[in-house]
Amino acid sequence: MFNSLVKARKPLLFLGLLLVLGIARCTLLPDSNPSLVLPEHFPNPIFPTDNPFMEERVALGKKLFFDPILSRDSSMSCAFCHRPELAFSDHVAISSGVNGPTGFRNSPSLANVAYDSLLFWDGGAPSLELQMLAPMESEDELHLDINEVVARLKQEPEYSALFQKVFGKDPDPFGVTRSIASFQRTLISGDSPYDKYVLGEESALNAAEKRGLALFESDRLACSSCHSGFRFSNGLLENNGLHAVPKDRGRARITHDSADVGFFKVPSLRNIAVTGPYMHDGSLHSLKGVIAHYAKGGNHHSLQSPKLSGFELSDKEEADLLAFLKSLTDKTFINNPAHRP
Amino acid sequence: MKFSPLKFPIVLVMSVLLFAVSCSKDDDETVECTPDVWDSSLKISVAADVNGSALALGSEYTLNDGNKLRLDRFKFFLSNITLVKADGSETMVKDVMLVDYDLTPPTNPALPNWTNEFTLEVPAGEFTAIKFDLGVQKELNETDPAAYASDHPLSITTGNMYWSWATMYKFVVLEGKADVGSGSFDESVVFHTGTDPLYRSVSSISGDFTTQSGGTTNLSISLDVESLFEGPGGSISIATSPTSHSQQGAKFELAKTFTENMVEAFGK
Repeated sequence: MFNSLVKARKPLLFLGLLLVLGIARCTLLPDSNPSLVLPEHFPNPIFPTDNPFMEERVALGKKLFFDPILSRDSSMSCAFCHRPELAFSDHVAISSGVNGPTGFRNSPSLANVAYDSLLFWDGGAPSLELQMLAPMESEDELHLDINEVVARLKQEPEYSALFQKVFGKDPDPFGVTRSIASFQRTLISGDSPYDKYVLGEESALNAAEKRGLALFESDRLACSSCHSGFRFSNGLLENNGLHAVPKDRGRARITHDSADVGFFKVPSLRNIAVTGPYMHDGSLHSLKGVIAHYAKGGNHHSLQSPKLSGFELSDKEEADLLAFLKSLTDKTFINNPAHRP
Repeated sequence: MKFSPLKFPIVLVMSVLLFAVSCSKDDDETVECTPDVWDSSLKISVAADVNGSALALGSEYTLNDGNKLRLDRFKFFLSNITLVKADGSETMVKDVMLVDYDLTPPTNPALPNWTNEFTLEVPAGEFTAIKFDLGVQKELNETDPAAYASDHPLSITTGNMYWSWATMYKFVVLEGKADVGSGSFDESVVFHTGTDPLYRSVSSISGDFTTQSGGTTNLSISLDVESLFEGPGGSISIATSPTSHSQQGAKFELAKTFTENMVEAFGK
């Protein structure tokens, strides 16, 4: 299994570090968690002390995640914008909520969100439990007060029984947020051809994909200077120069600091081939367009990252890079029946 | 006894509250500490008044500038309720409480009926002042409102007192309608103040009161509603500046003026 470790030395060293850190900081998992299958090269996610991993919470959270009872007009669930077959993202630039296309940001993939300490494109929400109140209540999305959600659930004998079984009490905001977050933490994606290659299966990537990986990690392209680690994200906020004059102030919406204008979370690239359109506003429709954006060194926003120095890429190199990016698609994940209603 | 992770801090806090310690210095400068027993009740009412009479939601009032105001919702958080003794020593008796002037019972009978009256368990003693802050302090502001039991003032079940993870708790919610000259109450008045920079201490409110073991002491704190629009922070005309959600820019400045007026509007 590990006969090709040398080729994957860098990622594995990083993962090893994460594992060590993870073990030190994590709530250790019980021995048997059929819902939470971690690839051997992934660390344990960190669970909040008030929401340790419990199978029963996952099952209830999954039911809620796919239930349109959470939206004002009962027309859409969380899964409307976070579709399992699209790695829990959407296929449109800006998703519509119950009031139509009133939002302004692209629906992010939820793959491996268990490891995410920055939630939303502007990265402010500190936990899944706290974050979900926003899409639930925002008039751009499901537009239903959590207290109304709870009142509805109490009217449903099945939910009342389930909450009693899982939390020992009637439906309440605590149970709703803890169970949905529990389900979200089981959305682990780490079985792409790239993962198999990292774990030693030499033939999991073909020659073009391997050349693309080398380009991805090269100093010339510097993709991995931000899209690093097992999540392909450094977990930070960066200004990638998407627009010379951004309409969306990004991180500055939260901090009100003009030095944060245009800063957005570095997204994971896992399953990137199925999560387009790209960028916080879905303004780039193809991976080719994304590569072209970075090749030209961005659109020169005054605060854009100095890492965006631009590069030249031959057609063959571009094809190799695209082939590598497509090797990050985890078909086991996007077809996982355990992640369907 | 087995503590769950959630219950343990609550028990810890309760223990601290029940067995707080008072210390005094004797002639030899030795500090002697004896545990206080919190067996007194202090009933605090925060009495809002307009034009000299008690505020009633739904009633119409004429403000000093001639505009007419009808309040439909008025509630706010007070934090760090602290009793002060003549020697300057202070005892914090409550971390946060929600004052609500809507006295109609909640539609869900399982939820508490927040009002403008609170009965707190406090130590017996002679006090000379009470002090508190307006808003929710940063450490609590950053907490998850869904994690609180429904009888806690910071619970999301209190309704309409939480924006989102980014802006967190609303410190003050004042909503109503105004007649600014049209002859009808057709102007919406909405002041939702909050965010950490608008957390403010209220000046210490002086006045002697004594709490006794096993007894209940009543303490009334006044709040002059007209001062919210005309005070040390500045004047707010509900004709020209009727709303603020504390967003950045001019609306934040308006919320700041409102807040600075409000912290000076409390008295005894």
